[in-house]
Amino acid sequence: MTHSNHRRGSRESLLGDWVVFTSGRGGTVEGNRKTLEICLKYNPVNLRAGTVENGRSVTKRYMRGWEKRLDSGVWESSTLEEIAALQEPRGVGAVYDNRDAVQGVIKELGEGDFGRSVVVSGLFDEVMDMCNKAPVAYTHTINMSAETFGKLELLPEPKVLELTTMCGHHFVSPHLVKHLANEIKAGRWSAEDASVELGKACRCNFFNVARSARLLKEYIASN
Amino acid sequence: MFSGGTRSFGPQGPGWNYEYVETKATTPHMTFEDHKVGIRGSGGRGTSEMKTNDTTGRFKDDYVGLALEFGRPGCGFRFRDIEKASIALSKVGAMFEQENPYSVLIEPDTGRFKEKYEDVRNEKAMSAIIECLAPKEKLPELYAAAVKVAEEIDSVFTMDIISKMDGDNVILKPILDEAGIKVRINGKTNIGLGRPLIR
Repeated sequence: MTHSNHRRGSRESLLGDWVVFTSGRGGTVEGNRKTLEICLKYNPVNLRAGTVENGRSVTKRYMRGWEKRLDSGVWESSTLEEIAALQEPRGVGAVYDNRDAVQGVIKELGEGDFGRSVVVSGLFDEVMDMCNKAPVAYTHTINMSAETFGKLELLPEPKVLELTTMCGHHFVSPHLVKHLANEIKAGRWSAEDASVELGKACRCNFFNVARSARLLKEYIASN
Repeated sequence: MFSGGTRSFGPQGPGWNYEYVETKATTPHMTFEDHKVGIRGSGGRGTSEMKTNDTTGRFKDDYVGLALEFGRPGCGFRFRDIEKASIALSKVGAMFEQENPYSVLIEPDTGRFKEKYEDVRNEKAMSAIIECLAPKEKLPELYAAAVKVAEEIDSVFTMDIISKMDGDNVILKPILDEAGIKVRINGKTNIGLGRPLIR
């Protein structure tokens, strides 16, 4: 699945939108734990880690600003401390809002050489530059987004797409985006809480809530 | 969502369990409790594609990986539309990824639905992905075939083009440039940390 391949926006906007995640089955428990420690160290906007509880695979999710008061229905947040305490983390995924953090993560993951595939989603030239400045890591293979085709009139407006494409599975509804924009406008929601509400549906936890708050404000200002 | 291959529904890796696709059962029934504990019944519709290419070697220097993500972003699609695309891609030499759940439904050499699945044509799903591979010189033909099909469908698809890297050079870039194929400035990069490494 290509859950972080088609994030839309200007270069300036995408400079605040980075996804780093492990993939595949390689590596060790210790390597996964260290990967999680490294991702935690660089102040992620979002963080997720898989683990096993009572014999079942579960995913723990953190998004900045997702406090317990915002839990609802099936959506339950975890704190960074709760995720850091996982004894046997599996797959790890993190979202960052600045290049320096990603540079640090790539550098330390390269130094650790933990054996598990790592994918970085973001501006290609910047990722290439970061890899060149890091040991071991290098650009092995890329997946490029070559636009959308067909009945484009079915798509929501570009500004809304910038928000919804941050969940590559499109679990974030454009209708909810518009509804929450109206709620923010009316003073009933903050842009930050609305971003958490949107991000809950993104099970991969790649919906960048920091960027979302900015995009929602821009969307409101443009309407 | 036309889903397949997640940890919830069977073994991972080679030998993915697509029995529920073959029996047209769609995704298994899930409870709120399942969701609450993090089971992702709506998970992957494809393979790990280039995300693990450093350990699988699925995409090689002389090949292009192409994927059409039908119904995305957020529109859904009818299976009759995705079949049009797989037929068109097949005619220009696409080799379909056999670990992808959509490939279960089609004849690998024609892209048409297997006879026993013909009744799914009018079914609707949120998304499904055609994943295919071809010698890199075929990229302009694959792209042209996909763009032509886009005029004949009632929904949308988003295209992925996968390339190996040679240092800082995108191996497919000369072909993309010559064919006038535009790609975004951002996407996914496998940074070569999987072990054992397949360069």
